[in-house]
Amino acid sequence: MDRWLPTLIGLLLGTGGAAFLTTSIRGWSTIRSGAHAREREAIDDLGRHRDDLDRRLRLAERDRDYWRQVTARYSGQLVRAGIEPSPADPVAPSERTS
Amino acid sequence: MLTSPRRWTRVGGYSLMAVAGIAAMAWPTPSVRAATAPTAGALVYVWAGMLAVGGLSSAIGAALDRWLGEYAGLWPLVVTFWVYALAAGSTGRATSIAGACALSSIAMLLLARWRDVALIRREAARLAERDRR
Repeated sequence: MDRWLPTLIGLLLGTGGAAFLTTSIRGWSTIRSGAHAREREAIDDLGRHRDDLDRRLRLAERDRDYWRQVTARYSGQLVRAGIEPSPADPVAPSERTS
Repeated sequence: MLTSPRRWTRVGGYSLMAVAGIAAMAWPTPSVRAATAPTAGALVYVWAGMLAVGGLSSAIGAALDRWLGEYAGLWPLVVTFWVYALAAGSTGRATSIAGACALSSIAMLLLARWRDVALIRREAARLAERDRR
């Protein structure tokens, strides 16, 4: 125990010192690259980013529903005019198996 | 400067750790000194110095609401608490189990806080990268 304990403690302290230097440099370069240095601002920014994504998702879903109705109407018009829509049973890319 | 009670609590906790480090340099902790005895006890001062540096860095970061302070300062604190737990546990006495477990738990909680701060850094970097594009 006398031999390995100081070695282990030295290793641990060395790791801690190296981690302190590494994280200091990495953190500093992150701030230099334009990231928010304040924790509150960084969290607020993430919240705004999420709200923006939610808004974009709602818009995209509204557009998707609109165009789905439009294509259904066009498809009905084609069938009534005696033309078979091609493809007859379209499959969305997200539902296609790779 | 300090608007949230949560930040006050963190500043207080980290400041006390820094004071503990400075005090441990003046009056080295017997358990750590005994565990580092084969190195003539020099490691006990490295240990105390890391406690002081980590505590100061984290306290200043929390006080100024700058994540860099905790991001850099928490690792030295985690390591010093693990060393302290190791030194306490290495005595081999059953009575030291409680102390070793308590000190290890503090190290793990500090590590969990570091992971939260690291997440904030990563996301802030990602948003900055997106804004640059």
